[in-house]
Amino acid sequence: MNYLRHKAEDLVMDESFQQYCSGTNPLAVRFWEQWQQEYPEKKEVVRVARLLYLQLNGGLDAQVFANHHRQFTEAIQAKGIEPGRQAPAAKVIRPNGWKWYAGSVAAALTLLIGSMIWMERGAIDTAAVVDKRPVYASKAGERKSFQLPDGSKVVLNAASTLWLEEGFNSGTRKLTLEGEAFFDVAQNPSAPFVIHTEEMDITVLGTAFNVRAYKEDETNETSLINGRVRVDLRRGRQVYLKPNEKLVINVRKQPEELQTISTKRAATQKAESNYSIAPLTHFPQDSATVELSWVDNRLIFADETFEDIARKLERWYDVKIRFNADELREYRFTGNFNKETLQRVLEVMQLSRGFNFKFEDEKTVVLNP
Amino acid sequence: MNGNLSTQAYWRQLREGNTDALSALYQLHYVGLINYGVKLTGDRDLANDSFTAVLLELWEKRNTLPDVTNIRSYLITCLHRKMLHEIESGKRRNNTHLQLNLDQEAEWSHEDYILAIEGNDELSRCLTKAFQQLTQRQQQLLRMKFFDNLDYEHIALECGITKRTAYNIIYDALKQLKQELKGHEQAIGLPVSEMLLAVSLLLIFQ
Repeated sequence: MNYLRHKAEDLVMDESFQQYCSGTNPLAVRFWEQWQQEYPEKKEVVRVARLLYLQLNGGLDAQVFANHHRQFTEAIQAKGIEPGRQAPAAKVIRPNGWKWYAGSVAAALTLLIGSMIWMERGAIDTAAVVDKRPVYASKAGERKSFQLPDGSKVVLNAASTLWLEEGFNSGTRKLTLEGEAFFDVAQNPSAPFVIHTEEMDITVLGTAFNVRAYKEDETNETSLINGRVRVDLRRGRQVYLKPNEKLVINVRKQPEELQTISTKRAATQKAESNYSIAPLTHFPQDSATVELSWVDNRLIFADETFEDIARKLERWYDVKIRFNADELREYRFTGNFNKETLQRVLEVMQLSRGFNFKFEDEKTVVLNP
Repeated sequence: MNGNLSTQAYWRQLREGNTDALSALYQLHYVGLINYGVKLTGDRDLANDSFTAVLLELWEKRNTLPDVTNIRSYLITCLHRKMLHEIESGKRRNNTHLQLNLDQEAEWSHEDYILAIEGNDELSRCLTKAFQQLTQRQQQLLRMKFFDNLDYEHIALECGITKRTAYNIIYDALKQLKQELKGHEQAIGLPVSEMLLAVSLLLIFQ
């Protein structure tokens, strides 16, 4: 979020600013203190906004909260409760414990158990590797959505894997991603949400964003829908993203490709770097966000090369696509498909640019001029 | 993102015995719950003691807690009961405020809110006066948003307006209050930081 143009009334409306004033979220406090150090000229706007907010919330400022919070902490410690500890949970899930649930619990809880079972199964699927981290995985041709233990929502695109690092949700929330996922991160002031990928680490407060980090792709992307994220690149650089922006990393370092991205989308490209920041692409008909279309089961190409599109199709439909002529790779297409078969998608593409395709078998498509 | 979603997650974690969830629920609901207690009894510290006691009881009962969809109102009901109990058992009989507003979920009058937010200093009185010049609707929405700490969804539902309208009414009211605040500060002199700036500008342009 870029707050530089915020007036006092805009700040008062901002939730993290409110949490800074009331002191109830340490991350918000830290953010706004740093922000004022960075932009000392904003201190006056902050002062006015803070006065207004504290007047309206009944005078619950950071000092009142600190006193109350101390009493709260002392009270729970007196009961022997130490923060950050997993106390014995309810003994419920046992092989024959299912009857215990029957009839006694609302549908919402059933859903919850459903997702827990899914989780365990996901872990078993990939248990071949000696790796005790909980795993969520999707195969080519499938997309999965689920909720992480901290309440964050994740949609996994095809052929993607997400590992929860040790201690997830007890003090830290770290995970590793290969592939593509959309995250809607639950707020937790005490545990930043960090995603590791091969090319970058992404740190978030509560926010919604998309990460694309397929190993075989030429570019990796982080697209931000709202909130605030920080991306740490492998070479030690840090980038802050604003809503509606994406960071594109050129993994194989092909300067000409970077050029097209940056000139075409008026991106701000840093000299001698392998990344650029670009606005998200909206599809002209209905302003759907191209980067997120897969979450709604829509397959969208926005002026992309056939080579890039083929890779997407391979993952989307779980097929292999072979080019019998290299010139086809450079063809560019724009299209928007809603739950169409691969056959149909290719037929529509044929209408705009001549090429032939043949299903060699169920899982292999061959492209000819 | 979705405040309710994370509250739900903490609730689940509380039931699973995660102690962090206890602190997180305290922080997330602090403003709304403390002010509910203030509204009920006028005693902020009692509200905090009672809120803490409620959370501790929930912790004790974590293995048998129900699946709750509206966690905020569940907490408020617990707090309400707790505070009534505190008062009736006479622990704080000396406190003069304590028989205020004890009807179940009494709708709070604007006067009560104004009393609750008015401080002793000049500035606070000026803001309170400006607040009273707002329309009843504006006052009501400001109270719901900042004092009760409700989200726009809830406010929109309760007032029968859209979230966008709720947002706009609150925004305009804030703008008005800000103007009053600035006017007041100009009348009594600039705040120190601006005064220093004015002085240094004077020195530069002499």
